[in-house]
Amino acid sequence: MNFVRKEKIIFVLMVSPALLLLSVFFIWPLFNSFWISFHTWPMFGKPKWVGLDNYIYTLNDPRFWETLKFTTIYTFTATPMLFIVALITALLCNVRTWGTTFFRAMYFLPVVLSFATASYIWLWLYSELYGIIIYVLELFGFGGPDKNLNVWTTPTSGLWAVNTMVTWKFSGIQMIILIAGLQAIRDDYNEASTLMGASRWQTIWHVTLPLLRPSIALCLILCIAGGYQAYEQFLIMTQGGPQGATRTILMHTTDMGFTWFKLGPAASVGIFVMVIIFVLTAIQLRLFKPH
Amino acid sequence: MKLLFKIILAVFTLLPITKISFANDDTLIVWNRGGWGEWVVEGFNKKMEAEGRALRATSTLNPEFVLKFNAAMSSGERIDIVAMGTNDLPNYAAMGALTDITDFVTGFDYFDNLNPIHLKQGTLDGRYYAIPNAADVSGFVYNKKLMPTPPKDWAEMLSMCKDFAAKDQIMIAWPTKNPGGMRFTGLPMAWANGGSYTSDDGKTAQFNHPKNIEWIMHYKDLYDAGCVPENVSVWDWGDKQDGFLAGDIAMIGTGNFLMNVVKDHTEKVDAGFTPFMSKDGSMTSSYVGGDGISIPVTVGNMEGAKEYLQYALSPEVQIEIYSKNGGLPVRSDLVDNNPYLTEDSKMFLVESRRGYAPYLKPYHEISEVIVTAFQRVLAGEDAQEVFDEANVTFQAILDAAN
Amino acid sequence: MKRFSSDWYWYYVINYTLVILIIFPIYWTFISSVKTPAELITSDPTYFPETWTWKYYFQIWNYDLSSTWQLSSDDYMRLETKSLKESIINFFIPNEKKSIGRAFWNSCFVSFGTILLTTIVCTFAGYALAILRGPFKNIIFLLIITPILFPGVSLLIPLYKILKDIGLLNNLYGLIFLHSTFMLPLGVFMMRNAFISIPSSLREVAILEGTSELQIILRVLLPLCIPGLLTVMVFAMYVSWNDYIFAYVFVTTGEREVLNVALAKIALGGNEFDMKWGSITAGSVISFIPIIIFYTFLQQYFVRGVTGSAVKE
Repeated sequence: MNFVRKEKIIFVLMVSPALLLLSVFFIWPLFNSFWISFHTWPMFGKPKWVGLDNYIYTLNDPRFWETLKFTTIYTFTATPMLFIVALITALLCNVRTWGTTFFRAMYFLPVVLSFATASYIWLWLYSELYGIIIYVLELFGFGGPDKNLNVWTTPTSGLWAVNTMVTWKFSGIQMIILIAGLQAIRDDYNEASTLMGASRWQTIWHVTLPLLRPSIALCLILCIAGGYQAYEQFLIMTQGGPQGATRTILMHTTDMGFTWFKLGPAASVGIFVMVIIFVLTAIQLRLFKPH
Repeated sequence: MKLLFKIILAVFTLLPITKISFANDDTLIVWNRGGWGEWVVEGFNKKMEAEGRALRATSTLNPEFVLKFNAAMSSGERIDIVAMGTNDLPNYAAMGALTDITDFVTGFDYFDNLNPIHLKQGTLDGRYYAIPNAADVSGFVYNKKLMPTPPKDWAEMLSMCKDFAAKDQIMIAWPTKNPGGMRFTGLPMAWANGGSYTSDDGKTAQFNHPKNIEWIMHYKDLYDAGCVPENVSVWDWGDKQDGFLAGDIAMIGTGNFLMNVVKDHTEKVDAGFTPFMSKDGSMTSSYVGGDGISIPVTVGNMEGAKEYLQYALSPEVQIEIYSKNGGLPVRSDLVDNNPYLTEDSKMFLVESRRGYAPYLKPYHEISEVIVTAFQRVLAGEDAQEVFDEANVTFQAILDAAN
Repeated sequence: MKRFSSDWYWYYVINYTLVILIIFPIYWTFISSVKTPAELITSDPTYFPETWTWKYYFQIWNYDLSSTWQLSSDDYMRLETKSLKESIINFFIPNEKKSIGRAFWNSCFVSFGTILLTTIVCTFAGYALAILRGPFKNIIFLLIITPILFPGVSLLIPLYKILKDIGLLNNLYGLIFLHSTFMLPLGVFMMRNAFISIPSSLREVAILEGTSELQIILRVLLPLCIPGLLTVMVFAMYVSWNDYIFAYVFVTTGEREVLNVALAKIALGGNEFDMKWGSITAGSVISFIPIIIFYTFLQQYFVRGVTGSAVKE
């Protein structure tokens, strides 16, 4: 009896540091986020309860809808790019032969760089006057005879430039998840399919992909949740321009909160983001539910 | 292995401790937005040393001033003196971040010599929270080697533009990406033209004023005529300034501070300055910006801060530091016997009394809106539509702030 | 594999092409950082530096960031090269308060702190949740896992307030706590799994011998959990070293800035025509060298961390 009690005390002691961190830096902020969103918070003095005003303000704010729209466009253009590259590299790396480990390590390498560093690197590659990508694109005749191609001049080209960087940076993670899924598929499925005279593409399309369903779901959920949290890449590479058309919802939140000092509305935007990610994840879990 | 681990642990625990600076009451903590302030701190310390006193100042220079100042203020960090952009003053006065120094500053014998346009930025409901310290007044600079005489009106500007385009040269560039830059060097032309930003009481947005639209269409015409860099929409302040200093661009909108910079580039640039003009050239205007100096509510040494503030407005700073380095004195009583003022700086001084500075609490929020509008027009959208739309957002922001 | 043997040729061609494409940006960044200005700022790029220079590294390591990008070509040439002894001293004690060197050591401090705190907290929590009997075990576990569902960045505003209230705003320790908190789900999950996989008889024997609980963890069980532990450490390093947004918003004093934020100043400060590209590429190399070294030696733990964090959801 004494022994069990002692064990319980040790249990509580051992769990408490984690719980302390969690409550101070996660649970408390989470509730606080709701609390702030119902108030106006001045820099000095007492906050004032305003009910749902901040939410109404946010819903009436065209900048909220613009940034939300752009973030959605970004998410749904970057996700397919990421996914396709990840699938190709995963299929290539699933073959057991000399060099697979090396290839896999190389494909994964950009993942370990930070988003910020990756953005600086690609900013240099895209540099209007001396960037190597621009140099190559101009060799192919982009930018006209004057050779004044600059990917940041229109929102669309800016978006694709960032998407390319994100694909380079992040497809490694999706690849690893897909490889884990592929390795769980038993070889006899593929062999059976080949014996039945299916071509390699037919095997991939009709056998491998359906069996990969859970891993694919995981990839898409991660991509979409990540897409709505896009921040560094646009802050560093486009700074929200041109025409303010590449501002993401999180850039809007931080501007609102820390530059314009409207903490209440900013907190309500944060809650909208949370809800959106939550709902999208739930929908996908539904769609990809195993039969 | 264990010993090594312990050493590493000890080093990393001690590392941040060495970073704590021990600020005492004798050290004033001064936050500066830009380079002018660093020189003032230097001068102040020299003066204190010469007088054998213990009072000193340390300068903190912050490129992302607003973000950092917001953070410092809301966490109650001690700051004794702040020199910030005059545009930010209304906001911080309204937020209660600045000390009411009305009784102190109105006692200065030179108080009436300060520029009222400038002075207004530091007020709230008739009380003074900051006073001007350094003036940044905008105007055109042109390179006489590329453009012997500056254009007198917009029509001449356009015809010169076409000449430049025919020679495949760049006449003018502006920093489309930079909200502050577009406001500082673009809007005064609209103001000279009779446009305005808000109604006089600052409560109604007038961004879609027909004269404002006339101005942006003029910029658009210049762009279409081909004498503006094609990728100007991604240009920042530094891009156009460096282009000008390299002798590639004939004229740019800039501020009086460039007088000091062009001195080092005489090989390629023979600079002349001219004010922003209205469409027919009859009126001129400028953006009256610069730094206002103030005492935040988190002040630690009030007496020292007041002394520093007085020093910043003294002839020692206004003449010997600012005027000497291409700046302008903010006191009109320091103009006459000032050996450093050139014809160009006198032009800027005249403009500083003619110009305008909008009194806006949500300055940065509106910046975002207007720079987006400029970019959309230059990208080919209908100016009237874009400006109307921006005006609605502008008004909504004003309503929320007042 | 035999089935594909006729296609081996294509298999390697495709793989090597992809590898070259993916590695190229990193290679290009590195060679750009050692090119001389004349070779770097040219519209006729070279694929291997003709003359090597390390001046950008010295420059950003030792000089104030806000003035670094304003150096003209002439200034660059005038920068003196230091003696080896001076260089070594400067490596550990950078001259300027706001240089990349200082930012690098700040980043090291935060990463090291995060690794340390995460390891301690996650080992204890993982051990307790895996092995000990206690109240609300499952609820506590679920609670610790939840942060993965919420984007940390949407909590910026309340986190800012809390850091301010407890006096950790603008403080590197605040960053350590934040990074550790958002490492908790993965860390506890990995450590719990690691402890579960150890046969319980080992612990029982130790208890019968009268060993204390703490000693059991440190002496008996932890040595068997090295892979899990390394995964947690590697990922803590990854999360902490690569964080941008928390550091950008919560640490506002120049001399306490971390590497990623300090680099942003060079990247966003200058313009096309000046010397910033040499500094940016050199700064990027400085920022990814530690993490790439980690990756080279501990690659499998990175991969394990990714699959671990994915499975958890």
